[in-house]
Amino acid sequence: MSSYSLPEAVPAASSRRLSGNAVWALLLSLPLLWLLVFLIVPVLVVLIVSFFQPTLSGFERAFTLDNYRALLSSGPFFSTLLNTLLSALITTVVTFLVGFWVAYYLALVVPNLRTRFALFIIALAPFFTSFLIRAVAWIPMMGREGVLNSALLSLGITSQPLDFLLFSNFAVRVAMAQLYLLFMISPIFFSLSTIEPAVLEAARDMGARWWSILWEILLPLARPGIVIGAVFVFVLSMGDFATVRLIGGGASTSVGLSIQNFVTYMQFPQAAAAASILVLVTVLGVVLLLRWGAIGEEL
Amino acid sequence: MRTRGRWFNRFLGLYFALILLFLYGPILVMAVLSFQGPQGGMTFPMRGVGLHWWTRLFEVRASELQEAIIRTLLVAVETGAIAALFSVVIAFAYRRRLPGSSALLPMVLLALMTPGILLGLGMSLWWRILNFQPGHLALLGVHVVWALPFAFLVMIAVLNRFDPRVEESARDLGASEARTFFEIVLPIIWPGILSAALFGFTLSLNEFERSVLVTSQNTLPLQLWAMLTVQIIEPDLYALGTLTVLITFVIVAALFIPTVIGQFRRLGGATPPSEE
Repeated sequence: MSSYSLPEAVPAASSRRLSGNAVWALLLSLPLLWLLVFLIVPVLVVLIVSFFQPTLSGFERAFTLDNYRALLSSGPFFSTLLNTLLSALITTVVTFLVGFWVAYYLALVVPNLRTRFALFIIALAPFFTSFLIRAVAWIPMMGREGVLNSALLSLGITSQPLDFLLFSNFAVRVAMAQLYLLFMISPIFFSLSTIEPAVLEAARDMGARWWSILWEILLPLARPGIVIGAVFVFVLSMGDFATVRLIGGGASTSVGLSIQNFVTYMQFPQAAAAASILVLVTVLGVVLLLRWGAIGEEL
Repeated sequence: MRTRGRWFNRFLGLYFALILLFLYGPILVMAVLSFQGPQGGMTFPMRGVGLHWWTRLFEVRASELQEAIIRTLLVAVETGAIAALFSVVIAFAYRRRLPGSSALLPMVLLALMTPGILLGLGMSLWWRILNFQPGHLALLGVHVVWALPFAFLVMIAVLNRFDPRVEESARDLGASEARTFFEIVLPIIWPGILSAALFGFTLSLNEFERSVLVTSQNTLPLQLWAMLTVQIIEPDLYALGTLTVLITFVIVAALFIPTVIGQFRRLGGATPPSEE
């Protein structure tokens, strides 16, 4: 019935049990090789090409630091980098503040396990849809004639349509928070779900206040989930360029978008250098986040 | 204390509903706007109601999109199959602590964390250095890299629920390694493998950031990107978006509903503490 999925395993393994491990090692080399060719090498290639000499149609294999020098001494690139970092930080903090309570509600308030899973999946489902489509869908919400502006106008909250709702840094950050929210909710939901209700009940019986339960039990126990979620959202929003392009119009920039522009003009070494700087800053941010997570465990 | 807690929980329920509105609102607005009349634009107000843009999607756009759709589906099926196969291998090796599996885990994590634009750029440069034509293989390569961590997580979850005693007793009764795997283990974890494959399929279907620099042959998301950034967009785009969202939701439902029901059955409908 199912012998087609691992055909090469049959002749080798059926003879002797001892060869089982050898077969697994052989099978294991396939994903290993795949990840090497399509993940590790491409990342290294970016690093290497960032030191190559740019030419009109590509690059020459001659070592140079000029790509980095040019980028780091360029004011626009620097402010792009800062803007990217700021957007990523804001998105991370906002998704945490918004997402924690969603995870809290799902894991600790919804009593029925079936309802809990169903609600979680309903919240999770949009994540699987096209990222582009979800970004596009923001346009009729946030535009000058969009739903939000019409609502604000008809409620008399504003007298003119608000322009900053679309094609601005603000719009980009709101959209990113929406697009990446699930990456924050899921890990927090899973870590809150592992908490024994008896622990909370005991704390309550001992007279602990609601906020001290939150502060001294829930937050520390949810910390691994929070750190994982924060790393996810931070990394994703650092590398974002589609949201920035579609929602930001021309009014917002990101390093990812600069990379794409460099590639459009065949400036590969510059693109690679920008990507390397982006990765360096991202990794620094992730290390800081993980360190913050580890300190919490020691305390 | 108790009553305050109840009010707070009720408030959280309302809050959760608002978050769902935040997540689904734009999609719903897009779906509604796709039923504009022929004069309709990209925003409210609706100018007439009709299937104008949907018919346009199927009659005019379809031929334009056909190639991209076929290519997207092909890559998605391949990605699902390969990611599922790999995730089974890695998850099993990891469970048995085979040498090499400890090296794979950080790589799977890296696959999850690498920004799409970086992977796409690296892939296109790497292919350029090798003098390969950018195309199907490179695209499949990065799609599998993207889908693998999720498929792996699914398999780990499945194997955690798998009782190792079943495997042991088969072996104790004299079944060979291969026979144990194909006749005992595989039938049990088969639904898990299928969901890993469907996961990969869905992720590949909608993948954009990794693909954009890797291939010159458009997939559906790439075609969408071209339409969005170069052409003047019309509400038939909303129809297309609504359609892909619907298809994705059907797949997600197919993925999760059996799991949820299974979970429910296993627990006998009771509501015990949330231990997995």
